[in-house]
Amino acid sequence: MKWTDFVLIVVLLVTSVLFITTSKVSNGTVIIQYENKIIGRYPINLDKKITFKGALGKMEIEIKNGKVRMRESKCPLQLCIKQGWISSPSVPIVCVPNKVIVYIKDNAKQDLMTK
Amino acid sequence: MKSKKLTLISLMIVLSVIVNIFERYLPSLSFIPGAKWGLANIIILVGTLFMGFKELFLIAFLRSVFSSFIFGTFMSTQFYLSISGAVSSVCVMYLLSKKNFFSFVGISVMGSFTSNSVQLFVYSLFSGFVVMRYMAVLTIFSVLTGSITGTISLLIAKKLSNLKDNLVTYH
Repeated sequence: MKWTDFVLIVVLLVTSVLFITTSKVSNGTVIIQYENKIIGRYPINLDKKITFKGALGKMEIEIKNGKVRMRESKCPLQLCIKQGWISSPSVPIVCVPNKVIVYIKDNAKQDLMTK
Repeated sequence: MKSKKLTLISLMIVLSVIVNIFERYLPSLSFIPGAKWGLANIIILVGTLFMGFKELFLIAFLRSVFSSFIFGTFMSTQFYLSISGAVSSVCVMYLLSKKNFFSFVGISVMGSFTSNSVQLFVYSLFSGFVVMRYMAVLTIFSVLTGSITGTISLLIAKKLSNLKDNLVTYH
């Protein structure tokens, strides 16, 4: 181990932790995206269960207490379900086999990346 | 001499495919989709000690192709992600190993960081740039897994240095 290794590790960790902690939302929109197209928008502060179709079949997400999670998916590894509740815009739920992304968009801030 | 080199490269490819399969039986990091142990990086890192760029590139490339045959993901989205990550990380790790700026741990962290960023970029071509937000979480995990694989390769390199006289270098 060299000191440069420690510098690299600390720099990478600190920037990503800062990035995650500075992006919390109070007033956001849950966006469901399928194959590059947005198929649904729902307010994060309204509890709801939403059913829609992914590439492999029926999927269901649940919005509760300002958080969102994948409830049901037909994908083989079930990674999206194991990920659990998310509340930060920097952590989307991605289901690769279903070609579905669920993410939270901050309404207060115009986001360059979604343009 | 040439057949010896061929044998060594084939052995390294098979070894990394085996490591790829073995990786599936480890406790998965599945609460973060996309996070992998990346143990096949160990083979590339140790390989930088006695192999040139062409050989390492071949190992990384064929490793992804053969693993995709075994897992049945050939020509799928997962395959493109895997191959772009493998190829980009081998380029970065080879360059860094020549510079003597980082030890194996730093090289390995940089390798997994590059592989994650390139994979995310490739995936964003399929499904839009929103997935780039995922970068921060993946970076934390690439630092973690990169340090683990880097430390393992350091240990292996230490063992190998005992046999240094028996190792032929191929460049």
